[in-house]
Amino acid sequence: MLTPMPSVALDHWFGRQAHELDEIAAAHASVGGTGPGRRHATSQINAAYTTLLSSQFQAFCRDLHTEAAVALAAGVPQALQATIRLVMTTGRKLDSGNPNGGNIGADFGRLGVDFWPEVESHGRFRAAQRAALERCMLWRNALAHQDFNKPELGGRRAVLLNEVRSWRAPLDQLALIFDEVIRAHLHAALGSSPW
Amino acid sequence: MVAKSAPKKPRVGAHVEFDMGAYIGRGVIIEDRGLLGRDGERIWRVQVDQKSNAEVIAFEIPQSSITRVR
Repeated sequence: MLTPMPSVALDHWFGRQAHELDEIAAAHASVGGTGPGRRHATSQINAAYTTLLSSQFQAFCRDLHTEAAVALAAGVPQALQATIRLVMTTGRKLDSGNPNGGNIGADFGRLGVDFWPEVESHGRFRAAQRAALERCMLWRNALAHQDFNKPELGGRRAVLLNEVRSWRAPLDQLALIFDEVIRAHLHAALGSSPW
Repeated sequence: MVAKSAPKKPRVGAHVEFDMGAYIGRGVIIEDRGLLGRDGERIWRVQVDQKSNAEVIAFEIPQSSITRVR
């Protein structure tokens, strides 16, 4: 699954971050009973699972951005390195905002890459992957703000376990593609791959 | 004779200095970003010292590029 030498960010995504997500999925399975009490408990776990999935993907994107910014700054003269780091990492949207497509594209764009067009031209990209990301963000915002008025939610106030599960594989694929797109960009800019 | 103490290690909350090229910048470490630098170097997020009414600026910098001052 992993590229031969992944970024630290990708290694974390498929390692400790995946493990933490698996733990909350297991918590859902461990809730006993069959009545309304169980449904309420599992509903809360699904909400937590959605929020955790969003925050873990945010952490992956942010870490990948940091690795790339550090590598790019190391490629310029010493006197300019701090300025380059500052320009690339101050006011980053992913430091406080959700990893929606707009925030991801804006932050990686600061590294000089036309991010989403590059991602979407990758051989393994599928439109369903980005759709899953945006669906996850839609539910994450609805749950975090208890605002279920968006018509795309279909009048529901609870996310289903199968929905959350269905977002993980597309996010795994996006993580792999992001890693490869950024590695190729750094290779073109620096003449060597930082990972 | 007074023994020289080793330089203090960076940590969240520590005040640090860093070379900005034309001047020495100062700030406070606000986050340990982990071993995301080249060859596994630790990266810190530093909030730059500024006049109180200025916009908050924080950026990321490798451990080898900062010096802890207190």
